[in-house]
Amino acid sequence: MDSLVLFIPAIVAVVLVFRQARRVKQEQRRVKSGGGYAPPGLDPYSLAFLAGGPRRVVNTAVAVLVSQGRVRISRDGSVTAVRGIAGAPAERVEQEVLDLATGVNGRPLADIRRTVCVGPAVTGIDYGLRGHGLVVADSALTSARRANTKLRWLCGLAGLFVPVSIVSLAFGWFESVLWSVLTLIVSVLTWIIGMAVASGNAKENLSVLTPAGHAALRAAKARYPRTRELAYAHNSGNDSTIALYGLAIYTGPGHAEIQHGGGGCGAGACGGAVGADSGWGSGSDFGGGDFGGGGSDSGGGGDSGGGSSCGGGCGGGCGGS
Amino acid sequence: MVAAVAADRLGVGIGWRSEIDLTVEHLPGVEFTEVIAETIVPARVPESLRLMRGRGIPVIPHGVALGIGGAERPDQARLDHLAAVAQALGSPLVSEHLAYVRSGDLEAGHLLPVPRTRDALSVIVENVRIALDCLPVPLALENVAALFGWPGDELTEAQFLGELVERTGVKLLIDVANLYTNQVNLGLDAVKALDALPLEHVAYVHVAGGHGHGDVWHDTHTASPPQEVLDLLAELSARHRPPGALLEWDADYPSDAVLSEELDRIRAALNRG
Repeated sequence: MDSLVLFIPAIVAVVLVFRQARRVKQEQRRVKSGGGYAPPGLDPYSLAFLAGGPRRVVNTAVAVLVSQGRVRISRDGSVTAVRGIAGAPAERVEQEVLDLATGVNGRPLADIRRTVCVGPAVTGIDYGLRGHGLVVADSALTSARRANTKLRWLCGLAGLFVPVSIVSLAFGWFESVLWSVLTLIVSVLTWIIGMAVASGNAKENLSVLTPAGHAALRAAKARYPRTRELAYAHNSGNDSTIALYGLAIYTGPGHAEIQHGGGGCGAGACGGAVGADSGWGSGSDFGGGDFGGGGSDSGGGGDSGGGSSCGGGCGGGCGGS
Repeated sequence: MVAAVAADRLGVGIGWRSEIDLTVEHLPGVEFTEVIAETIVPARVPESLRLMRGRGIPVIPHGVALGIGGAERPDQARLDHLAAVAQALGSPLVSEHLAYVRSGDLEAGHLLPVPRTRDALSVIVENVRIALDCLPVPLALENVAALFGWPGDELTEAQFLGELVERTGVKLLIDVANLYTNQVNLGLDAVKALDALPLEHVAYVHVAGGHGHGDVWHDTHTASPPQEVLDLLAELSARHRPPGALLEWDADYPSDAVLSEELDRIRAALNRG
């Protein structure tokens, strides 16, 4: 039997893999195209959203309120409003946190994160950034995630030719070994390249940032470099550093308790993921950023883990940022 | 188990609550603290309390549910728990309320005053002796803010407490805010009570704030102690300086700075006496 029997289907699989990889990229470009515009001087909470998503927004608000003495946080992560502080917080998201902390025994930080992550203030920030073309709706990436899942399946199909060609060589199924060796090489390369591309796609599918959003984030990081000392100093008026780099650089009051206080992502209430160069899923000193890197686009097969408007990026670490 | 500390000089303290654990840990001038005993699992003492004990700050378990003023024998499980908490915290003493809180399985939900009759005193003396036998450290009993007075009282509160101390050797936890509350709500003269109480047996004093509504004073532990309460503390201190005075604040917590000022007011009242 001619070993082309093995080689030709392998080539078909290769073509399918690379065609599908191109489709995923096209879908990602389609969703995130359309030039955005970053208004000069994005406010800290918009930067927090770009850098770390809803969770980063809430963490920043909690850190600001604690450092201002408007709330206190206990060792077990309960956030309690401090009585008798004059004036209202400057930002709407801070007011939402404060309102939740005003109960008799305060509120666990995890509850506050879950609630405020999907509250009006964070939603408003999300829509504001969408309006400027800096982010897209998480649900807009569903088709790209599905396409990437299909890419992984096709990689698996191409990979099947690896053991088959090895077995054919071992047992001498074919008179000529040339096509079996070529099948083996092509299948291995296709599987490796395909999976690498799918992995990169998955990372990109976690990110709701558009190219303009990434540019705005890079510009902000250039303006506010990562500095621990700056982070605390900025608490008095400029919280952009905590917003951009997360709680890992927050050294103010209650820093350990905010960083380790009770998660809050498990219910998937923290929205999807943002950018590969952002704090979403990467870039934090504490367990993978504000979202801990959950929400793969292939974890559950099918339509997959990142597909909902709020489920994707929350599944993993709750370690802070 | 942490080594016990002496109770003869406690100083000025504040009640430990989980919501303000870091505040209590870091507040300057906190020399001792008190924790609600029923909230503590002896095998899992909160880290905050362990740290404070490590710094040599005494922690006193304060029970709210023993019901030593009831007609029934004190519940052994509750006594065992109090003892275990005291041992886990290395406490110099434990405190409870001289109150009636349940009958059988029926909980009052309040710290009710005991009838101040000789018959009731005999029962409570026996209950206190049982408790003292079970506890590894001294027990201090607190006067309560009474919602009402029983008809047919034969003794004043000071006489009742004095006899109880004399017959059992129990210590006293005098809550000057409760004395003030009873003065406002029931017309019981707080200074006269101080004159008659065996103040040399006071282990420490509670100080707290509340809110007035019309002629009624609510001892809420959610506000600054009024000057009248601090004046009572000064009166008490003038007669016999107590080993310690502790601020109770249970909700609606102010800033650390305000709490620190309240401790300074308590310290000043003690020194004024």
